[in-house]
Amino acid sequence: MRHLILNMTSINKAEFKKVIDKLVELGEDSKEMDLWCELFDIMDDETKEKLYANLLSEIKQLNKVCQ
Amino acid sequence: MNFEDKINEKSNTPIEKKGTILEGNQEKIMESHRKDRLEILKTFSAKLEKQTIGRLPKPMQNLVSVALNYAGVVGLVKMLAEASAGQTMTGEKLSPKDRIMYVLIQGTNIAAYSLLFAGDLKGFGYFYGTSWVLNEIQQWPVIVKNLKLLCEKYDLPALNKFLDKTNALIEKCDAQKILEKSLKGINRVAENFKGSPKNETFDFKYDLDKQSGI
Repeated sequence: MRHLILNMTSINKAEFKKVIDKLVELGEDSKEMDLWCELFDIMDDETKEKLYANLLSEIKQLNKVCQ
Repeated sequence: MNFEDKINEKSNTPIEKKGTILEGNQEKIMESHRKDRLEILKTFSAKLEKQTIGRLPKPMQNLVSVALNYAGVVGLVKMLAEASAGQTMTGEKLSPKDRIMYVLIQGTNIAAYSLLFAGDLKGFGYFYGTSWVLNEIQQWPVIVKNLKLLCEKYDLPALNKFLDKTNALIEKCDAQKILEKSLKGINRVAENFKGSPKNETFDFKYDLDKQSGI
């Protein structure tokens, strides 16, 4: 049951790591990003989704500025 | 749009590498997102707190709260905040006497360390001793009460008996005398401060028997 619940979230760590790497590439603080990676494992789905949305929005906006 | 598209959207534009000076707009974007991330983390911490401390039985929560009072600077900030809020972190109401005791415990603690750094070891001893005595007088009944509740909850008669015996021993100690002695020490130290008039010493009388419950 626990296994099933854990798999319900659409965000996996590999995907999350890619977003993090992209942000570091865009100039975000790598230490802060590493910390979020560490925290990812203990976060609940809702927090993961919020964080993921925040990171994606940052990438989007940074890309716009860089254009 | 799949995941790769999402993160590579408009990525064919030049990207500034690490180490270069970022434009003001980029800094603003990063800062605003960092703030949002901190809010997300705060909400998560609150959830985590509910899941951990909130799940403990109430007596256990109270014991965790008391344990934190002994945790150096954490205890200092926590006790002063609780004294001003009038309740502990677990929601237990503090009586006016408890609030005064909290401020006194940490006040004498701060004074002790100030004297230590000023090189006055004797003063440090008196103030630290007083802070310690006040702390024990204040915390002991809370610790025993909550431990006894846990003993009843988890059916631990042997520990319950031990606590009764310890409590009886403590009751035999003349806490009032110990406290008065410590406070007299503080008076002496205060009188020795350079430039302070003799009549401006700590005059502290406390009806311990009536209020401390031990």
